Amino acid sequence: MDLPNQSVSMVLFWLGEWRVGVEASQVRGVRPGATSLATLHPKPVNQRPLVGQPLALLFLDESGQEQELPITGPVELVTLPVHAIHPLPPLLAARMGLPGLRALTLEGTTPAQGVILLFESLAKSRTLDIINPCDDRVTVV
Amino acid sequence: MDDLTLEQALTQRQTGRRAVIAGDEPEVKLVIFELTGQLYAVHGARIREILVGSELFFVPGAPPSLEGVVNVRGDIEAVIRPNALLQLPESHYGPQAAILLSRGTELSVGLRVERVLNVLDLPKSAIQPPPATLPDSLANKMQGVFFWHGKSVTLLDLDALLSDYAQGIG
Repeated sequence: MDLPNQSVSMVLFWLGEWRVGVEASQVRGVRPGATSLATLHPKPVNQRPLVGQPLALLFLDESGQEQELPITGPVELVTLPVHAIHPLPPLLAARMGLPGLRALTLEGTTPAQGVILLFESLAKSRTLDIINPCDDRVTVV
Repeated sequence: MDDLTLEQALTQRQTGRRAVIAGDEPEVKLVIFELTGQLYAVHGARIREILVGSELFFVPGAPPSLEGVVNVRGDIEAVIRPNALLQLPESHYGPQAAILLSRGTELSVGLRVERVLNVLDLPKSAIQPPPATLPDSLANKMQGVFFWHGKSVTLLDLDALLSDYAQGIG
């Protein structure tokens, strides 16, 4: 099947050990975040090193209010071609149970480079702010 | 025993052979594979491809039994280890490990198996119902049992397997 020669601008960042992406149009900015993730989350920070600097991703919620999402850098603005954006396999979607997770893209060509989770609207999805970035499993607060 | 002529004997054999051909019972194509020493099978019509040596992309946040995704010529498919679903211990995968890209009625998945043993055509009559002593949690995923080279092989119900998995079992 020939896919249209189009692309989507995405902002990529880290949530703990998760590499995550959202549409660039949703991101209002990024600012330096808390000095330590431990001050944001009551659970002890595990020994795995943070990928980068603690930051805060700024976006507008459904009521137009500016909100912040604690993330870690590096933050990248990338252009993903349509053919690189893979719909979430239904079985994967069913078992991961993350509202708002819509697609995957493969970072690089080798499995070692990993998978990037692509979420839809930050404003509509409350998934990201209940993820404990110190753990690679979703924690429902 | 009445003595036949040679011609009669040959005619009898030919008639018998035609009867066998005319009455050939329907067969099913099955893919037989191994998990922790147990033999299982799925209908060949449900297997799109058998991959050997494919590397998987780990998906963060996925359950442990969901090993990752595989990139098959630009399309990605989730790959699961069905052991917990079948109440089996963990498998140890060697160089013969394979992924059965399976397509159920509504869901598709890659099934990680230790090795594929054979693809064969089996008369439907050779498939017996699963043992009545099986717990419901297993029986609902099994279509039947047959014997291959003296070993018992469990024929899996792929749709039931995938449905249970989607609901969080295994």
